[in-house]
Amino acid sequence: MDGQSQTGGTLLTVEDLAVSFSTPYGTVRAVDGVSLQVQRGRALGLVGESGSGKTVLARSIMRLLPRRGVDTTGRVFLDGIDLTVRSPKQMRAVWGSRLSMVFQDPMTSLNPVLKIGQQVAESLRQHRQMSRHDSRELAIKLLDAVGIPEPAQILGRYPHSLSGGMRQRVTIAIALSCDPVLLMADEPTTALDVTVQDQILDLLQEQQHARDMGMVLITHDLGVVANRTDDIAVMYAGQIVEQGPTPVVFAHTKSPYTSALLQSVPRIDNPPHSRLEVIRGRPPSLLNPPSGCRFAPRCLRAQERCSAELPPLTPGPEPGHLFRCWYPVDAPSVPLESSTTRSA
Amino acid sequence: MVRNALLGMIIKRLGRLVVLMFLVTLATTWMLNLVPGSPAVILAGPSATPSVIAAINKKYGFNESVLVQYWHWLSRVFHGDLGRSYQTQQTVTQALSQRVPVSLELTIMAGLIALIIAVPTALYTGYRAGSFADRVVDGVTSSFISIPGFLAGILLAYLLAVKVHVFPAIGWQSLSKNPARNFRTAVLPVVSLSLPLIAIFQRVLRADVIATLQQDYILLARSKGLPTWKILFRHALKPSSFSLLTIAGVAIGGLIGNAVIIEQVYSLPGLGSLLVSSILSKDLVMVQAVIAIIALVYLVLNLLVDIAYTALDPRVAAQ
Repeated sequence: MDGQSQTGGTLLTVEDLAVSFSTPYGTVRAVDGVSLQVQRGRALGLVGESGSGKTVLARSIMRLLPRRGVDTTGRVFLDGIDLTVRSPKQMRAVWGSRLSMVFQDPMTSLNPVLKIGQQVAESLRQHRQMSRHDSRELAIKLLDAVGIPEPAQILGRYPHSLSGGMRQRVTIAIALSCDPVLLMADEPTTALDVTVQDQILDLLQEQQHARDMGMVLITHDLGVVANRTDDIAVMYAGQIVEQGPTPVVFAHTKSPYTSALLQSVPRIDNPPHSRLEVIRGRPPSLLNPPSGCRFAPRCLRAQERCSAELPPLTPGPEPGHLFRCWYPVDAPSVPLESSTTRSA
Repeated sequence: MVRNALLGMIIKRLGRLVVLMFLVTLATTWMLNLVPGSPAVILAGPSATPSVIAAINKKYGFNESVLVQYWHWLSRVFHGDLGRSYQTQQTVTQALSQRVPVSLELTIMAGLIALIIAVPTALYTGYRAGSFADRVVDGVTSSFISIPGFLAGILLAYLLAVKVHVFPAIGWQSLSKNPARNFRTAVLPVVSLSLPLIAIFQRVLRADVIATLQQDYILLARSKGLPTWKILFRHALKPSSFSLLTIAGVAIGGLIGNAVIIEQVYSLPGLGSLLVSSILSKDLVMVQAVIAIIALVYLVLNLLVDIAYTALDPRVAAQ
């Protein structure tokens, strides 16, 4: 493959990915024609409300969704290799070694009946054919690298004796163990204490830079991705509504949905007791998505055309910036700065 | 710390086991007194005179109160004397030393074979729930459960011993005397006993495996690129085994005394048939001993199950 050795270039290409689930009530289109790219060594923030399809998108990129009742179309290229045509056995060679994942809830994502050491060393033994001794040594180094004190002692412990933050560090160590080229982090801090969230995000960012690794950081919090990602894709009801380089999306927000999300982030410089803006209503059912723009029923700027015709992804004036709106927001909305606090 | 907690648990359970053994044997003595009909009448035969019956009653203490009878029995047991059968005059110890090994052998082999077959089958059918293979296994296990044990026993004996002379249907030899012969005669009864166990174990474990496979840590294990068999055996089996373990303790323990029908079909000298014949002939001292043995096996087995819980789940040990 070309681009295998160079640092720049495209690492992950997702082309027109769509995922639908057969349910007793009908077909649910959880992901609807998503295309995106992650550059080598760069971080993409995937932002959206609960139920917007972020997790399904991430798992379908990894091909970790169950096969039965799930229909996936589109293409996913990792390093130029089409993952969608790979056999389960070929995927196993990719999982954990080139492509790995950090899950949302560290309280449930570690096996309660296996020792930490075994769970960390497992990938090493699987993909690197390491001996018991070598994998143990490397596991200690990995745990140390993710900021776990007394790693040698932790190896012999079971997950229930560790705090949530420590457990998430362990799952990050597992994900990083075989030096993946791409890390998918699915809301890695949502289940953690607020005080720990920053530490975990810092750790991810630090490791991503140190390893020159691509990362997809999934979150419902724009504050999380503001300073930690190079690009952003905002999802709503299974579709991307706005994407582009992070500074551009923040400084030249075009989609009313992104704008509304930004307004609903609590800010330090808000006067005390001021009301927090919220987006009224709920995301639409993906069983019968509204025709036209899916955000139209909740959008304050919606006009007649919005509920009739689905706006296409349109390029903005800045390079790489795409948005899906007939009547985009033009005023620069919220400036990108560190005043966006990170909430849960 | 964990090891000490485990040791403390075992000591506590052993104490409870002793108390339970006292209660079980006392209850047996009491229940046997409630059974209608006098053992002395049966012993003396239909034509015995009242004076003979009175003499027998006096000799064996049948007229004493339950507590006194129990006390007599207990004090003899502590001197290593389990008594002598009223019927055959054989000592109970001798009878047990012939019967217990047979029943233990059948029980252990049937339990092991059931686990060896049920565990991989349950893991596979749980992993492929709803598939053709799963439905076939479901049908087979349904029939294993619904076919009565004696029918399966007779059927197997007819097909494999009478029609095709693969295994003998009768002619049990003890393991110490003739191991090869013993093994050949054990096959059919062990298979008959293990069929319903296989079905129960497979069903219980399959249901728990399906639930376990939904867990996040299984998805994480998949995202590590582990092969399916490692995910099933290493990641899914242990957390899914709790119900199986509980059921296995009860079901395997049940075999020791409840294998009467299979013992009859294959004319095996086991505990079950000894118990039934002793009850029918009001051979109280024999019944007492057999029930004590059965209770002991049950209690020990369930103690082992409790110990296994802590081995399965570190959180149990930590409590």
